[in-house]
Amino acid sequence: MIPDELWVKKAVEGDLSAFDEIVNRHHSKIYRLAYRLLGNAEDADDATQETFIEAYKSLKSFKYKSKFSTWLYRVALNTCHQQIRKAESRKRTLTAFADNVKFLDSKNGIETPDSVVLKKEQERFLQAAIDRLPEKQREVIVLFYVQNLKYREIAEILGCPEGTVASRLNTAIRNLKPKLKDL
Amino acid sequence: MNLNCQKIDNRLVHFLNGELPPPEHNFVDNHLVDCTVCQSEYEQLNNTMAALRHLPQPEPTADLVWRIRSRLEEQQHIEPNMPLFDLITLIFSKITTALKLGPRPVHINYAALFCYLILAIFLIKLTFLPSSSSPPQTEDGFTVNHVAPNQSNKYVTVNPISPNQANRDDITWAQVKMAGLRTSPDLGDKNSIFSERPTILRPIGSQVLHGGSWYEFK
Repeated sequence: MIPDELWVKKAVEGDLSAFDEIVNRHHSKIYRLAYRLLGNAEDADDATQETFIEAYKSLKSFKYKSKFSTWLYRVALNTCHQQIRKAESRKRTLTAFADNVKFLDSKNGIETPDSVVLKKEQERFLQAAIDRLPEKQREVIVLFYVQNLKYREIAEILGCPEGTVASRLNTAIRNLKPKLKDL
Repeated sequence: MNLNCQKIDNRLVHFLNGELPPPEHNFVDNHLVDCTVCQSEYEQLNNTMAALRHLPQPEPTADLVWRIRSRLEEQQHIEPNMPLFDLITLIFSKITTALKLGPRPVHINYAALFCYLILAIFLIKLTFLPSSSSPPQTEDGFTVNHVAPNQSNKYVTVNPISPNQANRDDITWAQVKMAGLRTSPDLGDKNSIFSERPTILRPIGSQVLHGGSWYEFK
């Protein structure tokens, strides 16, 4: 597979189809990151679009010192932070949960309607708990559990030591634990 | 919770993530066999982390990539010194995006090219072909029905006609003089009603104040 960085070079030279390749590769994971950070499909969709627009505009500032995906995550996090600061987003986060969002099927195969409803309820509950975490803890939780990134990668994205990542994760889980007792 | 339990508690998340070095891992593992308090804590943390690990992965809508592409194309066009062609393309792109028509960019370009050609034809016609509209009229009602350089190329000839009637008698020499106009033939100081319609001369590019308005003869 052609590495991202080659597509980036082409895109910087003005090849928009090269950037299409980057969008195709990364849009799902950026959407999931945004979804878990912002808590709803509409804002996640907006944030994903904004992330790629912003990434395209500032592509020349990518210095090839880190992986492109690391740089893209940073852009996505900044975009999500901006969205979070919009009051509307925060209000929607706790109340609205997009019912029309499609989820990847679980590992259990066929699901009964009841189990689907139960899972959605559990997810709603968990998402609401994540939404209430302080921003820095929420970031770490989403990067670790949703994006499945290693401490080292998270540290690079957030620009902090690995120990800080571990500490934030520990605190975040302990903050979530009492809220999820009945889950 | 004793001192050991406190140590264990601090390590449980890392234990569950498999991040502890073997000696510490074994230490926690052994402690959990005997300590019900820590077992309970372990269970709760394990459930929390399992719930996080099994969070469903939401999928973006199918047209998200296309919408990003459309916005990127718009973004490319929003630049200083934007050519007219790009402006038309941008307008089309915005319309199609708003209507969710979903055409490929090449179709937008063809449509914009067509509009551009129509506009170019219109501009050429406006610039080079003589206008069939009525002759220009001054504010005080004089219709300039002929403007053309004379032979010496220093003057234009202007034949003013009264708006009220095509009666040359109501154009007085005083009016012409006040306007700073010259006539051909030169009527001199004759301060009377014209007996015949004069040809009035003005230097090219000069302006005259007539009837409260400035007129420039080109």
